[in-house]
Amino acid sequence: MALLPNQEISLKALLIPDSEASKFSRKLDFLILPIVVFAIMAAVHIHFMLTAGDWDFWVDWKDRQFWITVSPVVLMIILGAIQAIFWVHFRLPIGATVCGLLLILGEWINRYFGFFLWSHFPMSLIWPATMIAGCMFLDLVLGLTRNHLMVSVFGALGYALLFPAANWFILAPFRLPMELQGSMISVADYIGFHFTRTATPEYLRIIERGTLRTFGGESTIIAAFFAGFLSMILHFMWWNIGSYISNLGWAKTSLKTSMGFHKDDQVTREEGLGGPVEGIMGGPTDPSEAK
Amino acid sequence: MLKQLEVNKLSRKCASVLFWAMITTVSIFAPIQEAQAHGERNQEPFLRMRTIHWFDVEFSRPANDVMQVNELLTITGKFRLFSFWPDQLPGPEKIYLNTVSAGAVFTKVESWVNEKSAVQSFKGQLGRDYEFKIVMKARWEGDWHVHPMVNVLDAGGLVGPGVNYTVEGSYSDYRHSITTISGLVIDDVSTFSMNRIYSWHALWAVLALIWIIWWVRRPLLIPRYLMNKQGDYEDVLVTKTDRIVSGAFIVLILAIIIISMNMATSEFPRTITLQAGTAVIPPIDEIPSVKIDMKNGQYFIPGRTVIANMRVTNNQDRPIRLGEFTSANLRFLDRSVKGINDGKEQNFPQELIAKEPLRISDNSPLMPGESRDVRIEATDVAWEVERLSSLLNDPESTIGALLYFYDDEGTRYISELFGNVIPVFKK
Repeated sequence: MALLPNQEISLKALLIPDSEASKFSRKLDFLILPIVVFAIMAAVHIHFMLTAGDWDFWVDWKDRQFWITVSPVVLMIILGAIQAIFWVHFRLPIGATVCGLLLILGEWINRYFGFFLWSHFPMSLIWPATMIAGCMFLDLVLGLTRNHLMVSVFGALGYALLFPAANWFILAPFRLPMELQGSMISVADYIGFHFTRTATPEYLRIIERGTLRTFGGESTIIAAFFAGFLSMILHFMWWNIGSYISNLGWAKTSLKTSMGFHKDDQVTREEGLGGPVEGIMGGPTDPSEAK
Repeated sequence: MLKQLEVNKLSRKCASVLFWAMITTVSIFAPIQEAQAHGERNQEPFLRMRTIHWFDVEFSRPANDVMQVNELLTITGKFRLFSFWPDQLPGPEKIYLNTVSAGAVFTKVESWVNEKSAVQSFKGQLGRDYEFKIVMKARWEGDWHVHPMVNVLDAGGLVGPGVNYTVEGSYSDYRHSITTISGLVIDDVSTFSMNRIYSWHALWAVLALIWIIWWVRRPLLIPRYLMNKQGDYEDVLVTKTDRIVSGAFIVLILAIIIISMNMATSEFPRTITLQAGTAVIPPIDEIPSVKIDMKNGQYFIPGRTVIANMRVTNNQDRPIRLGEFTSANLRFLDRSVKGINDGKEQNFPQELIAKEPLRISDNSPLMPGESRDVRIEATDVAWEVERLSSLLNDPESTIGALLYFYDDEGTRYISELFGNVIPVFKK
C-alpha cells in the first residue's frame, strides 16, 4: 500500500540514524509499551479466566480430556487476533508470545493475592498451567514462514499439541497414585479433597469420566489433536477478525458538527491523521472524495 | 473575564483535591471488619427447612475454643434428606459431604458417611438418614466459623450448624504428610512440588522474554508501521537472521519439551488419571417414627412464634412424649422429657437452641394406639436472627421440620412435619 506524502516524509526522517524523528519514535515506543502490556494482560487474563476458569484454577481439574481441549482452544480466540494485529501492521511475530507471557504473569499475581492470601488456598492446588511454549511456537512458525496460513495450519496444531506436553513436567508428580480411606486416588485428587472448596464440590468437576477404547483409549493424544483441529479453525478465523477490526478508518457523518467540526471541515491528505484506511464504515477510501 | 476563568479553574482544582483527600481518608480509616460467616442465613427458608435436617451434630471441641495450627477437630452427626423435598429443587441425585469455612482455613483429613469413605460423591435417598464423620485440621490463623455441609448437584450447598474457633500460630507451620502407593513420602501437600513448578514457569518466561527482546530492541511502532505499509521493506522487517533465529528457537523449545517429558516419565513411571467415580453409600437403618398429620400452621409475626396444629398417632408399642421440634438447625426443646438430648454436652452452638421451652398443648404420655390433637408453639428471636421469618416472601409458604418423640425408656422416634403456614400480623 502506498504511503501518503506526509508518511513518506516521516519514513525518510525515521530511517536516518540518530535523527530527531527516530529518537522521538523510540521514546514513543517506550511510552506506549506499558499501556500495551497492561491492556493485553488485562484482556488475555480476564478472557482466559472466564473461559478456561476452573480447569486452570485447580490441580484436580487438569484432566486428560477437557483441560487439554478447552485451555488452548479458548485462548486461541485472543491469540489469533492479537498475533494478527502485531503482524499485519508491524511485522512483529511476537503477539502470541506476549499474550502467553502476560497471561502467566497475570495468573501468578491473581493466584498469589486472590487465591492464596485472600482465600487461603495453597499454591499446590492453584498453580496455573503454562501456555508459553505453544504461544512461542505460533510466533516462531510465523517468523519462519511469514505466512499466516502456515501458522493456522502448522502453528496452531503444534500450539495445541505442545500444551499438554509442556505441562507434563510439572503435572506428572500430581498424578502419582495414593490410597485414601480404602480408595485409590491421585495426589491431585487428594489435594482437591484436603483443601476445602465450599462452592466447588468434587462432583462439579468437568473432567474425564470414562474413555471408550477407540483410538487405543489414548485420551490425552486424542484431546490434543482435537484441540489442534479446533485451534486451526479458530486461528484462521480470529486472525482475519483481528486484521479487519484493527484497521482504523473514518466515515462521513452528519454528527461531526456536534464534535466541534464545521460543516465543511474535512481532513486533507496534507493534514494526515494517518489517512483513510479501507473505509470500513462504508465511507470513501480517499478523503478528497468526501469533499 | 479571564480572571473569572482563573478563579473557576482554581475552585475546580481545590474541589478535586478535597474529593480525593476525602476518598483516601475514608479508605484508610474506615472500619474494616473481616467477614466470618458464609451467607448461610441468606439461604431461603425453604432451602433450610425442607431439604436437609441436621441432627445429633457434635463438635469435638467447645465453641470459641482456641486451637493451634495442625490441631484436629472432629465433627460427627446425622442428616435427614427430607421427604418433602421441594419440587422446584433438583433432588439429591449426587451429593457430597463437605465443610464450610472462610476458604481453606481448615483442611479435611477424613470424610466418612455411614462408615464408608465419602471422598467421592454419592446418591442420596429422600426420607432417609446418613451418619457422617469429618476430621479437620486447623491450617490458617484467625477466627473462623466452621460448619458441616452437603453439596447437592444443581441445588447448591446446604449448611449444617456452625461453631466459632480461633486458630493460633502461622499457616507456614502447617504440615500434612502423605505417602504415595509407590512409597514417595510427601512432607507437606500444601507446598508439594512447588519449586519444580516455579522453576519451570521461570524457564519459559525467560525464553519468552528473550524472544520478545529480540524484536523489541529494534525501532518498533512508527517505523515498522510505515515500512510495512510502504511494502518494500519485507526483508528488512523480518531479516534472514530473524528467520534463522525462529528456526533455532523451534528446535530449542521442542528439545526442551521432549527432554522434560522423558525426565518426568522416568522419574514418575506410574501415574494415574484423575479419579472421578462415585461412591455407593446406602442410608442407615430407618429410625422409627410416630404418625403425624399436620392440620395447619401459623407464623405469629409480633411474637416470633411458629404454631403448628397436628394430629399425633402413637403407632409404637410404648407411651411417648414430644421432646424436640427442629427446623433449619434451630432447636426447640421440652427438657422435661426423659432421654432428651439437650445439646449442652455436644458443643452444639447454643445460639441455635431456643431459650424458651417448646410449648405443647398437652404433652402427657401418648399411649400406644392413641391419637391426639396437639398444638405446639416454638418461640424465639432466632426466627428473626436466622432470617427464617422471610419465609413469608417465598412463593410457597410452607414449613418443614423434624419432631423428636421419646418413650419412657428414652428411645427416640423421629417424625417429619410438613404443612402450610399462614402469617398473623397483629396481636
